[in-house]
Amino acid sequence: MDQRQSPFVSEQDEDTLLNRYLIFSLASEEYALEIRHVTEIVGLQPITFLPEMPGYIKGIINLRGSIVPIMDLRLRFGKESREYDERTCIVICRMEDINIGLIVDRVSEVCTIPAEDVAPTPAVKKDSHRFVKGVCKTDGKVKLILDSHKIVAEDDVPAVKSTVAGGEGR
Amino acid sequence: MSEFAGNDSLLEMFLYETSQNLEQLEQIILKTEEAGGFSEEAVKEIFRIMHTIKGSAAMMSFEDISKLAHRMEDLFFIIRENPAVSYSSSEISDLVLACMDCLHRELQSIRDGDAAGSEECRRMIERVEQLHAVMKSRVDNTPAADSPSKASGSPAAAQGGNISGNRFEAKITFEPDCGMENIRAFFVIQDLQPLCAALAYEPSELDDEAAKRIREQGFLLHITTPLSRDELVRHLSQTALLKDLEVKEAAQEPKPAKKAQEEPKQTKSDVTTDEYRFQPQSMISVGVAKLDRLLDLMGEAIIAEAMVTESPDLPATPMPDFRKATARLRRIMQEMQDAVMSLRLVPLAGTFQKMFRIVRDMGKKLNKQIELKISGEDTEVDKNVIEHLSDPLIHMIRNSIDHGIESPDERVAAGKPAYGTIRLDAHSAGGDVIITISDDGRGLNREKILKKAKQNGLLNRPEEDMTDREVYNMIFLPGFSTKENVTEFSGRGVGMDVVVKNLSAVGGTVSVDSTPGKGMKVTMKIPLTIAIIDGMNVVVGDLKYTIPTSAIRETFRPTKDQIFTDTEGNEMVWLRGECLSLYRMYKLWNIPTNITEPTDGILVLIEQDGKRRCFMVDSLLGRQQVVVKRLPSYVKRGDRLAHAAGCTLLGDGSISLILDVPWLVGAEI
Repeated sequence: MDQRQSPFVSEQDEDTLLNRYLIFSLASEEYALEIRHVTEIVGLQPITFLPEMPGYIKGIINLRGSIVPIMDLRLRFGKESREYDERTCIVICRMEDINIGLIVDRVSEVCTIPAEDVAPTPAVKKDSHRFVKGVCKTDGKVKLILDSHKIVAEDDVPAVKSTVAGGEGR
Repeated sequence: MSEFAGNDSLLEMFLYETSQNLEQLEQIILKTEEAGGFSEEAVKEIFRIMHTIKGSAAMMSFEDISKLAHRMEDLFFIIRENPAVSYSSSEISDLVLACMDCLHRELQSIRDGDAAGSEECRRMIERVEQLHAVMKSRVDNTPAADSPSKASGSPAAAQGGNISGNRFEAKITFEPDCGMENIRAFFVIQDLQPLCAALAYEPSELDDEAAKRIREQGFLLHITTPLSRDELVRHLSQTALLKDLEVKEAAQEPKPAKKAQEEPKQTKSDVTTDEYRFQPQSMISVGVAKLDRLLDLMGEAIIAEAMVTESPDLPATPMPDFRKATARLRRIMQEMQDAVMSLRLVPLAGTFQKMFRIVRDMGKKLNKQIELKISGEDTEVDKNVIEHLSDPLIHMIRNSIDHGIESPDERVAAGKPAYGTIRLDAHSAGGDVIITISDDGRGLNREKILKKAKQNGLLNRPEEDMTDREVYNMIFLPGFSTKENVTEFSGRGVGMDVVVKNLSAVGGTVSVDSTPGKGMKVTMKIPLTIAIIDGMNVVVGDLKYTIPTSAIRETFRPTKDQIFTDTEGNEMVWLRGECLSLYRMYKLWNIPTNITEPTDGILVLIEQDGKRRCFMVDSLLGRQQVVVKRLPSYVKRGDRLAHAAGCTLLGDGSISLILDVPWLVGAEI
């Protein structure tokens, strides 16, 4: 797994990755994830359910012999889940030394967003933009720039606790 | 080691090679002690090893290591050049061993990322220098003792170390009936010598005997030369009465035993030299991570193969050609899998050899005469398993020497030979490797063990009910030690359960049997590999679990009256007069399933370390060998999935979680 390199990485020149983003959508929003995190994009495949996981971890898949955990990004962001369809994709990422697959509604493109076009998110209230580190507007559409660190960060414990508690109730 | 993986291969190579050299050195020294003196061959070998260590350490700029090796080299130079000089071989053995230990520690601290070069190392250098001075003065005082034939010895000093040039092996066959083959061979040597950096030949002594051998088998040359192959062939083909000439490029290094024979009039040593010969090194070392990757891919290939050959898209019509091809593919895949698995296997020899040192040191210290006999050391075990084996073996051997083998007087009084014998044997049996350690000491004492067990509150059954074997095996319980006085080597009561712990980490078990007065025998059973385990696949809801078969005692479907619940709501099952805790897996981990009653499912009785528990699953899928994979650390965060030791891919590509047996029988659930 470690040997796997992002196919988007041109080895000679890391600079080309700078400001390059993968754009995908969840519900009506578009999100941007730095391309350097992305290893590959695969179609939906059977996911093995795992017990004791927070709800947004759907399980693990077998990706050519590597075991990769799968996170439903809708659930991670607290949105409603929906039926997966033929446009549903798994974006395989490597962030903070963790390999993880993110389920997104659909992947649209790879584009360059110059740093000066990124505006910080306004501080509305505590924790309001947990996963978003900036916004930008290109082609008349707002894109939310994701903070990879927050996505894979150790979650608040309650999420796990609740599943366990549910288990005892059965 | 892992700290270095990949980031400094030169350093890693140095560490690897040096520790290999040290291991070799240890064997030479121990064999020397057995033989009662240094043979000429041994001295040369030691010299060569020290020279190599000196060179590579200097290259890596570990000056203290290099210096220590240099001093040792000097010391053996004296011995080599002055065979007549008097010295105490045991004194030198001790010094070399002490040196080796010091070097081992240095290597370890380099590995740990600490600076090399310690106070200890410098003290060691001083010790060697002192002995060197003593030896030197002895040599200077007895100049007559110098053997004249050794005048040619000094250039050979360079040959012990790094010789540059191309290495060739040449085989010369003379015309039949040409006569005086040995003399002709001598001329070939004379002719070739100036052109070679190093030259060795077989037979090494060109006497009349040799003439016969050359006639029959040809004359073998090991040549290191700056010449190219063609130039060499041209040169050699000028030999008179030459019938046949074969020149081929030699492997990495000519066998030292052969190359060391520069001096034609070498005196034969009394000590047999065979033992010091190395195996030719046609090996490369590969990182375990690479092998693991290969194993992963292999597993994938097998699944992919099944996906192709069992594809639902295939037409229903018979396809003889296709079937033939897939049968062939399957066979190749299986062979390949075996080959890949075997890459991870290493012989036990290295681990076994280490025990000689333990026996020697302890025997000396405790004034006991002990002989260690090893057999089956070429049995192969997975590399990961071997790493967990060394400590238990050392522990058991120490225990045998300390508690088992009596003092020589006691032994003679009991009508046994004064020499105690410890046998270390390994052989494979199915997917397991059985290692036995047996001694002919006093054996275990039932009464003493029972008394001790009672004292420590380890006895939970009436003693009359316990068989001898059961009693003996209590020595492996934590907090048990029968020896009243604690010694340096064993007897702190932390020993035996460590053995159990170490072995169970790799899925192994240990048991002991004994005949009072005759000795005891410890049997360790370890799986060939922990990368592959024999597992029972079970189903719980949508989830598949794999339970190591070694832990499963039985599986059964209970009847309603076997199940009952205590006042706290803990479920239990009554099985043939025994009451066992019952856990429903779907409840433990909140797995949705339709089968919620034990009478509809299957109970699996799991036992390890004497602890037994029953677990309820929906159904059994079957038994198979599975490749163990690690679960991503992301999903194991916190306390999550503590019950899963890993996962595995089943034949249909689905993932099964491997249950952690120690957790199952030990955790508070």
